[in-house]
Amino acid sequence: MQKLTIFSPRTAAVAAVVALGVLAAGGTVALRSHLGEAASGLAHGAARPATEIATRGESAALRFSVAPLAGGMRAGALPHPPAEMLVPALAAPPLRALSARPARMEAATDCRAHLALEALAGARMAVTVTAPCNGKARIEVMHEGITFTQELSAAGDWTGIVPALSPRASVTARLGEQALSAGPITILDHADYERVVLAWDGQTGLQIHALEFGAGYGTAGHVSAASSDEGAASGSVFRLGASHLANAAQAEIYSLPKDAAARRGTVRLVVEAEVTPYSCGRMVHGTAFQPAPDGTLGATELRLHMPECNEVGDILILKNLLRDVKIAAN
Amino acid sequence: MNHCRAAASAALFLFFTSFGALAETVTLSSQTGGFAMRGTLMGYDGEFYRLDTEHGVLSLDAARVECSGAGCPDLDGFVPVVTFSGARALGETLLPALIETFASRNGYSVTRDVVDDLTFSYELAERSGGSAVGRFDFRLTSSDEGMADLLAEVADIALSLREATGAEIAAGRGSLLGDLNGRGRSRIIALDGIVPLVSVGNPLAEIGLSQLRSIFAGEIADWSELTGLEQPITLHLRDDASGQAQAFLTRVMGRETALAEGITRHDSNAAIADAVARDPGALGIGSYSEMGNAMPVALKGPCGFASVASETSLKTEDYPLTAPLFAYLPNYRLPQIGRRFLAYMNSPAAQPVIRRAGFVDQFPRAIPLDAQGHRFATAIARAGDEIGLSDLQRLVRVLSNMTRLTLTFRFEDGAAQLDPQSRSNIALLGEALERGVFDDRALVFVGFSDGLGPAGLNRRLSRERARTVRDAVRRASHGASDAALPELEIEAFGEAMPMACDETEWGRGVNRRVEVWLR
Repeated sequence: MQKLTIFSPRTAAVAAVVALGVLAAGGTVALRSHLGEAASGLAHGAARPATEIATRGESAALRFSVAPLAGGMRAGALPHPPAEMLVPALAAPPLRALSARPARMEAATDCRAHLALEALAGARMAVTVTAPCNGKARIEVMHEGITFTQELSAAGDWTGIVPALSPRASVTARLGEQALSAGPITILDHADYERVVLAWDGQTGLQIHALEFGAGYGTAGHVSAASSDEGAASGSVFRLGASHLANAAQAEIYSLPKDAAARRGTVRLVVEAEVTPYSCGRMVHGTAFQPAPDGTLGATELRLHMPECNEVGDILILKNLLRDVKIAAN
Repeated sequence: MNHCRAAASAALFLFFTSFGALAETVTLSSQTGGFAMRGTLMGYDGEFYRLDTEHGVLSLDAARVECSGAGCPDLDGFVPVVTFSGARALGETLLPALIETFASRNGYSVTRDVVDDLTFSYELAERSGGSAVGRFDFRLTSSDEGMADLLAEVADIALSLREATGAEIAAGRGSLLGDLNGRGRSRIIALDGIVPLVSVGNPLAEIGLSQLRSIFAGEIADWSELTGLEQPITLHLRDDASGQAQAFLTRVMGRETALAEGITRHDSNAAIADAVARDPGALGIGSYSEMGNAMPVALKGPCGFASVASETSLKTEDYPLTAPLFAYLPNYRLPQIGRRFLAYMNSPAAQPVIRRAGFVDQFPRAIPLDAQGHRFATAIARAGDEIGLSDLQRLVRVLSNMTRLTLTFRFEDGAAQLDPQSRSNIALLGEALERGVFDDRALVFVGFSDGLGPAGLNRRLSRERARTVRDAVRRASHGASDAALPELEIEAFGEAMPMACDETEWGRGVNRRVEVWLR
């Protein structure tokens, strides 16, 4: 008995009633402990301090979005999240008020699937899918034309941090036959970041490498999804999608703050395509999303003719597939 | 890490299957019968066959004839192809950005098919899985190779950082390609400049062209003469086949000066910028569009004028080493999608895309009087024997209620012939007048000269140049009647407002000019 659930400020009032009822059933303070799992699905950058910057209108969506988790039975079993990833107190007062109401739903497991968004600093979002009856299920998450595949935990949830690619960001997800959606939420610092996206399906061996402000390969300022969070890098590469799943949709997003410690100059973007037993001698398909003159991300489909299979292990280096990012002097 | 397979592997000419390469004998016969023509099929653009027959190359309307023979194209699934070949500087970022926005504006989806960085193709299709409407193939090498591919008819369009050479023009005249200097056979896509580059850590801010020549000739090998720092100069330049290096050699080094030994040669402008940015001892000859993380050095003349490459100074050609980017076209009709793309590239809509890609567009921009203070200051400082107070007062009186446009006209060395960028400006201004862009304003063509010779003669010469340009612009606005045109006036000030030093040939070339002012 699953059905489409839409969270947006306009539907907030209706949804809140449902959600608050569930909260009342088992409401606990460890609202977002499932966030602790986020790290597994994330590139570096996930552990950076997250500050709640959702505006008033969005906070409603935020609040009821946590309902299924709080109503579920497994909150205590999950790893405890880093303190900075807990949601600040925006949602707290109404919860306390309601928890005094008598609980009437403890016996039933609520199978409804939910998708929730939360704006984070750095023009990012925490995207949370909860589907208590769909443990280990495969989900496709979609945002601004980019799709990536994830696997829910045994308990039926997944959270990841995703760069927001629009100032009014919406996310949809597909869980079997169900379509979930959330947003739009306002991303106040969206304009402060340059972003370039490379998306693909399956074992393509594709990677974005950024050489920031004159950096060479292997020197400080060479950034990829494998980079550690320390060092001189200004930007970061987010990797989305679970590569161990068969034919999973995946994406890498290079994100650069425009002020980048007041640096200016050029970041060269290189796409590497490893010649793997899966990709050799074949055509690799992908999509590049790059800023168009009007500031939106324009999509270009890509077809890469991969080298033959006697070159497995080699890397095809493409310097012109993605345009360099140029930060002009103010 | 294993980075063995860099850009170019066995340069697979996967996409080079245009008809030029696959020419086969076919017969074209009229559908009503009674007419048949046999020959080598040179091309089919979706509308016309191009057939090489015993009577020469003929174009035949595909709607009226039937093709028979193994080489006939499949008319149903036919996708028109336009093949570009030539300079990397044009094909690496600028044309892909233009194709992507052209596709988006026209509601086409776009797929980039990649063999490597220099061999790729763009497919445009109707959205939502619709049929393909055209394909643009790219083979990026150098200006030399692009022109050779055009001459050999394996490319439809050559991308070049320089004008066609005498040898290429002669080869064209002796072939099916015809006159490369003919009307409509070349166009400027965008503007760029040749820029000396140093690393951020290098204190050099200005350099003379003669110093640059001495350094690249090996006569100056150490920074101590320029910056006081004792350090050898390491030199970086593009490879010989590149139009960029050729332009530097002809315009800065001169024919007779040999290059120093040990200059590191690079195959792209980006590679020069990257190498220079990492080495405080480096001096490279790069481009304005691809300075990367290196720093540009201003060009200075012996009398103290310095010129920095900027959007304005490249548009006005006040910077001496401007480098327009050319497309050379065939003498046959391109497929419709190709013609539409060419029209888009020169349209106002494409100019922001060109700017965003780091190049200088050709759209005229206004330069208000307030931004020209240094020019008037120079005029005052350099007045004296021949230019008196009354001349300066007339200059100020005439110009002070007007706005300068970036459109400026310059002449090839010692000739009355306009240089390529100025010829392109004539066409652009003519079109703008046809469209009525300057209605109810007056355009004033203001002539200036260098300072050699008597001032009175220079004033007459500069007036003649202004008249020549004005008349050429009037002819270029052929669509518009004289009554519909705004007033096109001429004015001349001779040597009164120099922009560069008359002691050098390049400085005199910068000073001999016709500016356009708007009233």
